[in-house]
Amino acid sequence: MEFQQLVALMPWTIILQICNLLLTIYLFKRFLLKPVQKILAQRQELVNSELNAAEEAKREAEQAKEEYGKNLEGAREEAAALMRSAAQTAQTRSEQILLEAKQEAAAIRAKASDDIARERKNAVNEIKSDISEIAVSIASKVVEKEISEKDHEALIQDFIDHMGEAV
Amino acid sequence: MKLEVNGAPIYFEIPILGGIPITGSLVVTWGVMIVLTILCAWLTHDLKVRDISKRQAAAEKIYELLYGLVHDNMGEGWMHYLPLVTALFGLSISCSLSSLLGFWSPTADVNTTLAWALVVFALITYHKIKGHGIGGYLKGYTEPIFLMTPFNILGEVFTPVSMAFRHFGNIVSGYVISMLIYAALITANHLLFGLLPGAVGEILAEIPILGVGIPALFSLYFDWFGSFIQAFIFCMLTMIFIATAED
Repeated sequence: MEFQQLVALMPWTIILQICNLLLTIYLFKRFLLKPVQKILAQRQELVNSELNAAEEAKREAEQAKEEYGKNLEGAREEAAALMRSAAQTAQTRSEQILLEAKQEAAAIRAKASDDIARERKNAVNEIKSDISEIAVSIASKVVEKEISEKDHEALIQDFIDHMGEAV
Repeated sequence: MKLEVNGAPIYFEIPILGGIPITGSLVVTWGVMIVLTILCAWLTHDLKVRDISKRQAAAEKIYELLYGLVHDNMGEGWMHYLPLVTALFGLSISCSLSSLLGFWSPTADVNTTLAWALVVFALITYHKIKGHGIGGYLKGYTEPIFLMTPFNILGEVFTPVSMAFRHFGNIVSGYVISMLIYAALITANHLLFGLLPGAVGEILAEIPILGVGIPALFSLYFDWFGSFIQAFIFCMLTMIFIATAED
C-alpha cells in the first residue's frame, strides 16, 4: 500500500475535508442541535403556560376573596341594621304596652272608684231605710201608736239625713 | 529492526481531474461522520417534554455543555456558531480517538487540520471585513506604520497555519512517540528474553511481553488527554478569533 509523507500538502484532501466539515455541521445541526433545541423550546413553552395559568388562578382567587370580603361586610351591616330595627321595634312595642297597661289600670281604678261610690251610696240608702224603719218601730213602741207612721215621716227623714251626714 | 513512520495510507485514486487520492484521513473521517450521525440520531430520537429517558438526558446535557461553551466564550449574539463549534469539537475528538481502535487518525494529517483552520480563517476574515469595512480591513495591515505590512500579512496567514499545526503536531507527535515506544519495547523484549538459553529464549523473545500494558499508559496521555485538550483548544481559538474579529 502506498503512503503519503508524514507532512505533505494534499490539496484534494484539504478540499474534501472542508466539504466534510461543512457536511458535519449540517449533520450535527439536523440530528443533534435542532431536535434538542425544539424539545427545550417546547418545555419552556409548557413551563411558561403553566406559570401563566397559575398566575391567572391566583388572580381569580384574590378576586373571589375580595368579593367574599365585600359580601361579608354587607351581611354584617345588614345584620346590624336588622338588630337595630328589632331593638327599636321592641322598644316601641314595650312603650306601647306600658302605655296601654297604664291606661287600663287607670280605667280599672276609675271603674273601681265608681263602683265603690255606687256601693257606698246603695249601702247608705239601705242603711237609711233600715234606720228609718228601726227608728219608726222604736218610736212607735215608745210613743205607742200616738205617732202615725205617715205623719212623722218628714221628721224622721230629717233626722236620718242629719244622721247620714254624721256617718 | 526497521521502523517506518509514514503519513496517511493512500487507498486509491479517482482518475478524474488529474487523480484524486483517497487517503486514510478521508476514509476515517467519513466513517467518523457516519458514526457520529448515527449516534446523534439515536440520542435525539423520540424526545419528550417530560419523563425523559437517560438517553435524552445525555443528549440535553451534551447540548447544554456545548451551548454553555459557545455562550460563555462568544456571547448571546454568536449562538449561530454553535453548529460549527459542535462539528469541530466532535470531528476533532472522534478523529483523534479513532487511533484507539487501530484506525489512522485523520488529525495526524496536516491536511485535515489545515482544512478546518482555513474554514475558521475564512470566517475570521469575513467578520473583520464586516466589522471594519473592506477599507478598514486593508488599512489594518498598515498599522501602526506601513513598514509593518509584511509582518501583519504574515501574522494573519499564520493564524490558520498555527492552529492547524498545533493540532496536527500534537496528535502526530503522540502517534510517532507511541510507535517509537512500541518499537523500543519490542527490541528490549528481544534482547531481554534472548538472554535465556535454548528454545525457551527464542520463543519468549518472539512474544512481545513488554509490549503489554506500557503502551496503554502512554496512550492515556497521548491519545485521551491529547485528543481532548487539542479539540478543546482548537474550538476555543475558533470562538475567540471569530468573536473578536469585529472589534
